[in-house]
Amino acid sequence: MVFQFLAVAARGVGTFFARTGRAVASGTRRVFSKGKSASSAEGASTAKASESATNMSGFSEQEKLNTNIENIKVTTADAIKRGMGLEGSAQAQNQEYIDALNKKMEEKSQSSEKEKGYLRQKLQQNTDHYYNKLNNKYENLKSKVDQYTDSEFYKDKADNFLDPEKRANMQMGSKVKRGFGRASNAVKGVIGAGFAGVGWLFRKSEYDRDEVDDGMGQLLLFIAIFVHLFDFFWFEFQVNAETIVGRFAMYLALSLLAYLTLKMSIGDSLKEFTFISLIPLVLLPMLFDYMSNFAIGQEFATQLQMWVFLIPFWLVYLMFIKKISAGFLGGVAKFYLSAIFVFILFILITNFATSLGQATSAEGVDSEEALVDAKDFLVDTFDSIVGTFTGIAGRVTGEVDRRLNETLGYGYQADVERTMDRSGVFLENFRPVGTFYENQSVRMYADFEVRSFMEEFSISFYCILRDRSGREIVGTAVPSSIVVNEFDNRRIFCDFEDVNLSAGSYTARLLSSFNYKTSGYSTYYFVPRSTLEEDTRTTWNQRHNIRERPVNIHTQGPVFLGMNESVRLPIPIFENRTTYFAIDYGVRNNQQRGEIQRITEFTTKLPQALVIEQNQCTIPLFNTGTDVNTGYEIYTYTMDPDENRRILAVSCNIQIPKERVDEVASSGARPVTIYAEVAYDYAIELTTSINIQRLTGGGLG
Amino acid sequence: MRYLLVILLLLSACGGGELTRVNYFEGREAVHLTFGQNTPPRNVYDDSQFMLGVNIHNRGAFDTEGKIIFEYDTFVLEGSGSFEREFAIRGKQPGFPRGEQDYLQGGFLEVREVEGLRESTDTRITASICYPYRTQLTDFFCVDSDVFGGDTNPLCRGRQFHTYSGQGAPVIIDRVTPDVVPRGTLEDSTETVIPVLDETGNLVEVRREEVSTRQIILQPHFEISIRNVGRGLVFGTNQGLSACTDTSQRRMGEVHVMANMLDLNLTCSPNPVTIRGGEATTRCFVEPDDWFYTSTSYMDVLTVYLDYYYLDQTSTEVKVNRLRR
Repeated sequence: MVFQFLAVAARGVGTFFARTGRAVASGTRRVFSKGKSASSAEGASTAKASESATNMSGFSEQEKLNTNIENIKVTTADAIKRGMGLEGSAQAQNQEYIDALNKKMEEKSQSSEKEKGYLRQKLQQNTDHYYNKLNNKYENLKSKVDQYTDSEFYKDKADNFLDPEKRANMQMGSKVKRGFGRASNAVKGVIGAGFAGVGWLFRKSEYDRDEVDDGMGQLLLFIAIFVHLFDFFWFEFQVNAETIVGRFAMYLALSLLAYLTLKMSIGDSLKEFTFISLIPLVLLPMLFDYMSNFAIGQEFATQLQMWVFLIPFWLVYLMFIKKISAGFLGGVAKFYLSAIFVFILFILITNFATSLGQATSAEGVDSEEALVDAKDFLVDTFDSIVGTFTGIAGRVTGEVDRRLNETLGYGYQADVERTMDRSGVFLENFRPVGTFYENQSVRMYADFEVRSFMEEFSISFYCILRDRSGREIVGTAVPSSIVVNEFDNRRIFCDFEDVNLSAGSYTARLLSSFNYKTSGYSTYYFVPRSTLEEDTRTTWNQRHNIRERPVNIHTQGPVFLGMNESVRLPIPIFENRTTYFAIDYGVRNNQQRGEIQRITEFTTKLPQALVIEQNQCTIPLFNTGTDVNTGYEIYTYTMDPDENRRILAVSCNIQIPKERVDEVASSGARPVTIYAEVAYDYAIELTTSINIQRLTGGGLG
Repeated sequence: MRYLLVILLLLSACGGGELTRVNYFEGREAVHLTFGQNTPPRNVYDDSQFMLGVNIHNRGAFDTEGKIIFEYDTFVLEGSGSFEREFAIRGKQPGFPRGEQDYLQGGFLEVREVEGLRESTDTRITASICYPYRTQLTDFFCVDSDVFGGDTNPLCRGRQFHTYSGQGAPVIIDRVTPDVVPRGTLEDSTETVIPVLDETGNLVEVRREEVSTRQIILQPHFEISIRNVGRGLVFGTNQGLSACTDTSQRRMGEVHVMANMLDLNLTCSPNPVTIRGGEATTRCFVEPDDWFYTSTSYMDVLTVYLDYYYLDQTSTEVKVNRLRR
């Protein structure tokens, strides 16, 4: 039974990851193709990275905006041209008409004065009529031109387009709508899996219905697990109009699958799986809405719902509600699942109790603040638990990523430098300062921290609030930009004043953009070829306690800077002729909540014995001098301003001339560091939801 | 009284012990190299200095003079990437029953500023020790004249080969297989005394007759198995210690072999022998001019010398911390 259980699980897992792998592969291909926009960022190499990238990119919107602005420009120019033409045309035609009438009058000069008077009157009438008509047309066009060129709306958009900083803001501000596109994909995926399962069942059911039921039950169990994980990774357990549709579709598909496949009565199937679906769909949102009426505060309730969603209700149901048959879920499997559930529940309860205790014991803290603090503690604990799950997912996706890299020829790897304190730019804990009511100003804040060895770099902040209809309100970030010198730690406020917000749910975004750098180091070892003839590579490495692959380390921060690990150490070098070997560098985004806006410069430093000749790299690296500190040669590639790279893969042929062998060839194991550095513009986005409460009447009595 | 007690104490300390024979030609190590305590320190700061030093201990049986080469990453530490120091150290011998130990100060190294945005960096410092060394084996071997197995009480029975665990050097002779090759016979005659007796058994006369004999000409030879059991590399060179740093002058794995049986020099082939995969074999034999004949088996002393250069390394990690956090 257990083996069957595992076999079914393996099939389910295999299908899931195969599907995920294809999705990731196609996404990454999109990312790796230069100049793509719109959905390109959706193809980051991991599921979460993909999500993040999609959040941040907004490039379809950007393209639309660009197109709109271009259209406006063309239309405006066209209109002006047409208007000018019409004006000229009107005058010309009018003059022509007058001339024609004058000519007619000349011809009729012999006519009576009465006839002349009539003609003159008619001429005047016609002239006035035609002129007025043309003039009206011209005025209409001119007013349209003025509307395009002078209106604040389009003027802002034009300004934003022309100003790179604002354009970055707009890029992030106009991010891709998340819910429906993903929901539809999710629904497609789940329905597809459902149909596949049904097909498999019907085919199998011709032979052994009971066995199929057992297997199908287990398969459904794992589908339920994946649906729940999907809910977490894709919808982040958010409760809003967009996600609820996708979630409803998922759970409905699951219920239908159960109904169609399990050998139960219709009522049982629907009842059981609908029960599973209803809890996260309906009951919990109702509960949270109800909770929000109490003093715990809306934001606490909002955060708490994430916690409650984390509890696998389908597991509760299977463990304690459903009468489990021996065939459906074996004793061993049941034991393990029960243990997992109890463990999760234990962590949740203990942490919640601890946080509440800590929070409420603090002096001078009112109940709501205490609960907010408790929430913070809970969120941290939640993050740690999630970290466990995502760690597993990360390893899986890391493997997918690694294979992708290999497939694409970028076999680079690196470890992140371990430091005593975290290093980098951190923007977190974005939340409202309190409860807000309709037609009030809204203030939110986030914690901002920088710990870096970079001297003086600037960071800009932008705040945007979006309602359900997609209307965006730009707020004021305070401060809007700061210059950081190594360390900083402060709060960033987002003010939305005089915005007259109606009651309801809004999505708030805090965006920050800054220029930053990441350094990468790799240590190589070179030995004379004759040494390796006597000493095998393995024994040499063992003797010197050196790994066979280079150890690549990059500094903490939002960007991954790896080097190739395809090289095997030590690298044998010829003493009587030039030795060649290759180095690959890879740069990509490494943070879920941010995105590289543009890579601006790539630099590598090599010992003088390691030479890069011109045109020996996939990008034109130029020798820009010698580092006075280390004596290394500096090779740099500065991106053109219109070169919009967000990933970078560099491969170089390195040669060691025989005259310089002694500089790196070693009697023992002389380490040779290869250094790389990438400079880039980066953007971080934080998103949270905020509920504007309705002001109830109150009245006098 | 007090002096008497001290003298008694000293006398009692001398008594009761037994002199033990120390075999210096044991073990599998030669000069052992380790970094000194806190030289270098485990943690240093950028833009500072630290000292390098090594402990050397000759655990082998021979005196030697050599070089120690320090190597480091010039991206992290100032300098050319390597420098060397010379040393001389005595092996196990009277006065140094465990071999001489010494501390060698390497000098100071300057730490560069940590490049880039890194908070700290780990760098490896390697010390390579390079010296000429000798392995010596002396043992009794049986020269078996009973090549046809006719001897009813053979002297050399059960003495087909000898195995060894070490001779106080990193390159050891782990097995010697002696053999004797018959290279022909030598016609000879000896005068034999034959007594002639009468019927009663009394000696009548003594007759002397010439009896022809054939002596077997023997060529002893030895198959010698060599192994590098140390951690380091073996090489040969004609350039002395300069080959320690000039890799082009090394002949990797090369060992020169010299052997003799008392005053008889043996010829070894191949010589020099090259160690590949940690092992090598050579044969040492008596040249035709020195072939000898004997009618009886006997014990002889074989001495084998292996001469080579040995290169061993040790390394340590130093963490360079950025002072400006």
